[in-house]
Order: sequence, then structure tokens, then C-alpha cells
Amino acid sequence: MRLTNSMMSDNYLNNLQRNMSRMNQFQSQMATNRKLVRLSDDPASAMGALAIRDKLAKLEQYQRNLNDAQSWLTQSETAVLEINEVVKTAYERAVQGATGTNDAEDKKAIAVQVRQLRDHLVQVANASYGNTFIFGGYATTEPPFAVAAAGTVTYQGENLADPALDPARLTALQDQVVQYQIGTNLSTQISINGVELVGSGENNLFAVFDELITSLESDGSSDQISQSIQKLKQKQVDVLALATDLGGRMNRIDLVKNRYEKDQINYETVKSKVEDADLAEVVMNLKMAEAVYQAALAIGDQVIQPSLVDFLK
Amino acid sequence: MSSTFSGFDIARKALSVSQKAMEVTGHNIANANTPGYTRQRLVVASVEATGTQSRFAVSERGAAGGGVEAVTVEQIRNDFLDRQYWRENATSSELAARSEHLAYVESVFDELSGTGLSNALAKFSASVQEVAKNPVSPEFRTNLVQNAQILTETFNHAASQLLDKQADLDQTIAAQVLQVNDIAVTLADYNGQIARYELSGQRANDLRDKRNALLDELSGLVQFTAVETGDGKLQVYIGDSSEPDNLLVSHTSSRSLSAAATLANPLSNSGPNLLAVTWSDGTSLDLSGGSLQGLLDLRDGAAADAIGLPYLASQMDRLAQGIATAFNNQHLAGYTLTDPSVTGGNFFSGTRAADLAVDAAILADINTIALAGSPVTFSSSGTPDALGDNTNALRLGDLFTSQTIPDIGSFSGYLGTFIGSLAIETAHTDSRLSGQQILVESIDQQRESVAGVSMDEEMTNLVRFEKSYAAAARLITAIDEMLDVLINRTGVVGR
Repeated sequence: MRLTNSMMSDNYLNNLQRNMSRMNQFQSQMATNRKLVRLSDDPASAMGALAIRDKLAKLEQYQRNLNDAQSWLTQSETAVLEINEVVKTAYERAVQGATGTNDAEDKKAIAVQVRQLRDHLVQVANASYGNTFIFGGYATTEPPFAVAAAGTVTYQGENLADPALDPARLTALQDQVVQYQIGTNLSTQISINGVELVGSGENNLFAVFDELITSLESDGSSDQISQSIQKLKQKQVDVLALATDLGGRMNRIDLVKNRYEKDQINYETVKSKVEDADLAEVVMNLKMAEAVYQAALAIGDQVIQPSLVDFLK
Repeated sequence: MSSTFSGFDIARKALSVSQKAMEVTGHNIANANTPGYTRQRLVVASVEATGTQSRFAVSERGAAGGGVEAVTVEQIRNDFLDRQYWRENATSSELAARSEHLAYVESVFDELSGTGLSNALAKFSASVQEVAKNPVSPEFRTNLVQNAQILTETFNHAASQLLDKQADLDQTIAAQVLQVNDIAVTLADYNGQIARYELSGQRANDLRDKRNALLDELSGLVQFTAVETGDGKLQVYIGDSSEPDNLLVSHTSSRSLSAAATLANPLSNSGPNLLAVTWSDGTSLDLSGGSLQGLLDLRDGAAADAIGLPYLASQMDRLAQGIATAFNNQHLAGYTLTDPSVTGGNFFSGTRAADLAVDAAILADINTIALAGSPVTFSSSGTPDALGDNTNALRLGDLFTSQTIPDIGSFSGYLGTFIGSLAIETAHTDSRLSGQQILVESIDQQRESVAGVSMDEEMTNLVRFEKSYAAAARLITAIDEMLDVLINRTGVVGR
């Protein structure tokens, strides 16, 4: 093929351009520490990178949710254990009151103590986590338990011990549970609502306490007080069952948290592989491209040959 | 016997031809770096012996020829390579225009930087999760609204940038149509000049070079076919060269293209009309390459196998609409935090990415965000409020991981496919472009190889013609000496 001078110089320029654009690519990679400067550099990897980012973001959110759930449950556990202590103390008082050696005055004194315990129970049942009352079902902004004018304890305005309580209302109150999202299509109940906590009807904790107080104040017989003792024992069992349930929930959350932590490490690794530039590799590529470029520049002198002009006189 | 002084004539012709040849060589050397210049060569022919062309044939044995004469100065150029170049350059320019503007569109959806749609969607999803844990407190509700607004604004912004790019493309199209018209007029002009020059029998080499340079430029704008008729008239067709309707230039007359704003705008129902490029008499243009084609394709492409701004805008609209509809439907099933608690209204308003917004009722009162699964109750005397129902918020949160969203499947899945198809199209165009550019370069090299000036060659020619000039001069001296003998030294006996 016949060669002309301008062909050689055009060729030379085109190749220099190609070298420069490769160098530019590597420099961008190094400056941003990203293998993918533009999505179109590697569309398949880019789409993978986006998908992983999405997964990671959701995973982090679930972890935040799990942490919040743990705090709520820990708070619940503390309260429930405290209730357990109160019930135990009441039990001891009841036993004390049941012994035949007490007279009416003694029993009244014990009744006062039990009443104080009952009022303390109301406070504990109104425990909160931050600004949220945790045993109120959906009544999270104001204390769910209150002492009504007549002296009975109400939950969301209803006396749970009242046998005439509308069953539909009771069911509605029982269904008020708070759930948190802890995974894809996975939510967990984290709250114990008031009905679950204190029971309803005859089994209502406050009803049991009130019964004991009434017995003591009216100088009831040992048999009457024994009935209360039995009920208190049952309540202890119930409350402990709640505590166990809470413990089980907290265990599950721990397991899920551990699994998510492992998942996060895996996803981060994959994300880094896809997105981040291997600095050593990029530097090496850059240096090679620079060397090629320098060599091309140096050769330029010889490519743009002297022509016959220089040799003819 | 031939005439006494005919030798001088031969020498004179030789001198003159050598001189002309050197001038042509000089012209080549002077234009060695002129873009588009084709090297020229003096075509010489030997002259027949005197008398063979006169009326009375002279039959003389051993008659020498009549010397040399310059026939013409010709260009050394390969027409076929030119046509190849024009065709491939049209494709290359089309791809270059598409690639350049796609790169801009890609930067509109820069998802890796943290400011794109996927980021806004992720923030919105996180705020839904957070508000599900705190459905009553105003800070979390406000945060939800703010992140929703970030999402809608990102959609709005992307839509308006696509609209801007469309206007930009339209302007460029208008400018290129003007360019084509200009070139057509100038081509007709050149055609006239060349025809007049060549009436004298000589080739109009430099004018033809200028015309070829213009045709090179035209090939970057539109795909054309150039036909030179038997009597040297050039016709340029845009499209099929058998249709007279496709003539752009026919010898000295030219037609023009026009761009009128008559096309409906698929990106904006109220927006400006788009330019339709036709012949100025209204007949449709048969365009199949060149940067004009590339711009029009990008501006008008509305299908998955012909990706352009309308396709991208419609995909984005579908995504915005899918998210809004799914969210709204779930929102309608929930209950608000107002007194009395009612079912929720629409959370998002708007039908496309450009007008997507958070509903005005939500903005006016954050308690109208319906996060509860059943009506919440505000207290009558003595009863506490029961406001903490977050069931609907959990279901709203589920939307972000659901794979069964109507029309789009899943939020992040559809977004990923959309962004991915744009990235793939850009990468594909870029790789086709670099392949095509190599092809064009190679053809150009071949053209240059045939038509380019080689310094070495011209230098050699220079030496050659210089020597032949000197030899011709010697010839004169030799004949002079011979005649000197005849004139001055013959018949001087006895002087």
C-alpha cells in the first residue's frame, strides 16, 4: 500500500488518542476509587451493584428495627419481673393475714400494705419506653391504666374485672398488638397489651388484689383469705409465663440479629467486589498505560520521518 | 526529410512539458497538508510524426515523432472509496450523535452517586419503616412526608431534564437542517462552476476537491447517494437514488429541507411541538443515516428496540405511576390520626413523573396520613386515647419488598430494569461507535493512500523533471551546434 506522510501522522495521532483515553479511564477509576465510573462502563455489574445496595439498605433498616424491638422487650421484661415481685409480696402478706393469730386491726394494717402494693402495680403497668406506653395496646400516648373514682382500676377506661363487660369490646382490646417489621414479609409482635398482662374477669390481677383487700378489711375468715392466696399463686404462674414468653421473643430477635450481621458482611463483600476498584490493579494499569503513552510520544520523533527533502541538495 | 528546424520544436515541447510537470509537482508539494486535496499528475502523450494528421498524408520512412505534449492534469482519486467513505461516515456520525446525547441522559440517572431515584426510594422506604415504629409522633410523620417529597422531586427533576434534552435535540436538528440546505446550495454552485470550467476541456481539479470536501461534510449529516451522470452532471439523492422525489441537488439546482414544529410532543402534553423534518414542499424525507438521523431517533424513539427519550420517559412514568397507585391503594385502606378517624385519602397526586407530588391534604395536615388498620379513638372523659395502631404502616412498608405490585412487579426491580436498559443501550451504542470509527478511519487511510501527497515521491519527480528539463536544454544546444556547422561552416570554401 502506498504510504504518504499525512497517513503516518494521522495514524500516529489516532493511536495517541486511544492511549490517552485509556489513561483517562484509569485515572478516573483511581480518583473515584470506583471500578464503575459510569453505569455503561459495565452494565451487568452496575445492575448487580444497584440490587445489592437495595438489599443492604433494607438489611440495615431491619437491624435498626430489631434494636428498637429489643429495647422495648427489655423494658417489658423488667416491668413484668417487677410485677412478679409485687405479686409475691402480696402473697406473703396474704399468708400472713390468713394465720389465725391476727385480729381485725392487724388485718386492716395488712390491708393497707396490700392496697399500697396494688397502687404500685398500677404504676408498673403504666411503664413506658421513651414516650410510648408499652402495655397499653394502642393506647400509647396516655397512661392506659387508671384508678377510677370508685376505686376500681380501669384499662383504657374499661374495668376488665367487670363480668358485664361487652365481649366484643374485650376481644377488640385483646387484638391491639404492636408489631415491628424485622424482615421481608416478617413481622414480630413486640408488645404485651394490658388484657394479656393483667387478665380479665375473675382472673384480673386487680380484682384479685381488691378481693384480698376487701377480705382483710372486713375481717374475713382464713378460708376467704385462702381463696385469695390460691388466686395470687395462680397469678404468679401467669406472670412468670409472660416473662418466659418475653424471653423467648428476645432470643428469637437475637438469632435474627446474628444472622443479619453475617448477611451484612457477605453483602458488603460482594458490593465491594463489584463496585470498588482494586487499587493495586488500577495503579498498575495506569502505569502501564502511561508507559505506553510515553513510548508512543518518544517514537513520534522517528515516525514523522525526514523525507527525501532533507537529503537532496 | 523533415524540416530543418523541427528539432527545436521537439526540444521546445520537451522544455514546456518539463516545466508544466514541475509546476504540477510544485502544486502538489504546496498542498501536501491541505485537507481534502487530491494529488495531481500531468498526463503527457507523445506526439505522432508530423504529417500523419495533416490532410495530405506523407509517407516518409523513419519519421521521428513530434515530441511530447501535455494532455491534461488529472486527479488521482478513487471514486469507489469516496462512496464507501460517505456511506460509513454517515453511520459513524449517526452513532456519534446518539452516543454523545445518551451520555448526557445517563448522567441524569446517575444512580451510583447517591442522588438518584434508587437512593430517594430507599430513603422513603426507611422513613416508612421508622414511622411504623412511631405512628403517633409528629416528627416521624413529618420525616415521612419530607422523604416522600424528595422522591417526587427527584422524579420531577428527571422528567424536566429529559424535556430540556428534547428541546436541545430539537435546536440541534434545526441547525443541522440549515447546514444541509447551505451545503446543497453551495454544491449546486460548485456544479455550475465545474461545468463552466470543464467546457474548455480541462478538468476542474481543485473545484472538484472542494466539492468532494463538501460532500464529506454532508455525509456526516445525512446518508446520501451521489450519482454523476454521463455528461458530468452531479445528482445527490437523500435516500433511494431511483426516486426523483429524493433529489437534493441536481446539477445547478437544489432543493431544501424544512423543519416545522408540527409533531405532537410525547413527553409533555402541553409542551412545545417537535420539529418534523421534511422537504420544503412537504414530501416526506427518506432518511437512513447521518447525525440528523441519530438525533431524530433519540428524540423520537418510543419502543424497547428503538430506545429514545419517549421510551425512557414512558418507563419512568410507569414507575412513578406504579409506586403512587400501589401506595395510594394501601393508604386508602388505612385510618387517619384525625378526630374523628376516617379512611385515608390519596397520598400521592399526579399521573406522571413530571407532576408526581405529595397530595395537598397530606401536606396540610400530617395527621391525615393513614397508618392505622382500624379507626383510632380519641378519649372521651376518663379514657385514654388509643392511637398507636400501626398495622397499615406495616402494610405500606411491605410494598417496598413486594414482588406483586400491579403493572410494575416490584419497586426496586422495575427501577433496576429501567436503569439497566439505559446503561446497556449506552454501552452498546459506544461499542458500535468505536467499531464504526475504526472502519471509517481505515477507509480514510485507503483514500489517503491513493490520493495523498507523498513528499518522497514529489521530490523524486522534481529531480526527474529537472533532469529532463536540463536534457531538453542540452538538446537545443546540440541542435544549435549542428546547425552552426550547417549555417556557419558549410559552403565557406575559399572564404
